[in-house]
Amino acid sequence: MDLTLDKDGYLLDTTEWNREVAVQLACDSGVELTDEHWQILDLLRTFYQNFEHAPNQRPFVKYVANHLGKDKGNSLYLMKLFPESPAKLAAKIAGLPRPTNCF
Amino acid sequence: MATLHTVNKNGQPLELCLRVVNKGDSLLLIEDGVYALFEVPDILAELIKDVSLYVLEADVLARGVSNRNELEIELVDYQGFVSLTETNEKTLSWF
Amino acid sequence: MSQTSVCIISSQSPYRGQGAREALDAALVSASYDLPTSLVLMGDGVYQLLDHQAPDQLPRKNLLAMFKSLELYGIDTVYVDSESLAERGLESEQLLPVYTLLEGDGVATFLATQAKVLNF
Repeated sequence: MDLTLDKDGYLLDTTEWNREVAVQLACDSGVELTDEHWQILDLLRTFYQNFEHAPNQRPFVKYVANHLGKDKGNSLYLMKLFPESPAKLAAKIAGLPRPTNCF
Repeated sequence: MATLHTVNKNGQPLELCLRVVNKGDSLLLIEDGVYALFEVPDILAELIKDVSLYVLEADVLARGVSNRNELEIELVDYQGFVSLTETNEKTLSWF
Repeated sequence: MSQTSVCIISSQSPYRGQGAREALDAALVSASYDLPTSLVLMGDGVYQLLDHQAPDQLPRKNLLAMFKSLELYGIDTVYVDSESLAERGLESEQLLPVYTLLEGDGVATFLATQAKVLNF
């Protein structure tokens, strides 16, 4: 599958995204998607629909905590699923633009 | 916590500045803000009782704006502008 | 570490230039660094909170979506200068209910308590 990505590896046309695309984007980043991943990715896409931007770490963690509880809404859990920079990596796999104000 | 307010235009920038300026603050008119000397001298005359008023010399001279109402408004050059930012804790620019 | 309070004043209308968007971005960045951050709308800035904004036909993001997310960044309320509302004939019920009204000298008093104030 040929995907058009920006220089940081984010999907250029967010409407091209589907679950197959997500699997490929995850694979490119060395992540194998499980149900736990999907739960976060779906939630992140809901965030984007509601707020029209991809969150950086702080609101991402808080949003997950609000919806799935503190067991999952914490940096460690998200770091395990999406290593190094969860907000960026999850946004990338979810087919969203690079998180706003993410340094 | 004295604040230096800079205003570069009459209208909303000046209005909002006047709304939040506190006693003991400084107000420096720059760029088109110096036209306030012509346009709202009565407001400035009232303001000067509580606030230190300054105008930036280069902008006044460039526009040929004179202080016809003889308000006690001090002319400052760029060095004076810098000094004002140093003597106030905060600088807030209205534009 | 002592916490430097940061107040962002947003005084431009939402779709004229980038001022409104830049003010929101500045507030989000400040809050993301865990600085106690507040946002004050005054002047034409109060138009940013009008609900029913639908800029779909403009190449612009809906600012209301950003306002709704402020709480997740730790910015619990937006301060609105009540005089600015009155001057524009706006009623509180026309605005997205995420704000606190500051009456009279409220904004001046509030700004005096803030370590850093930035106007957009």
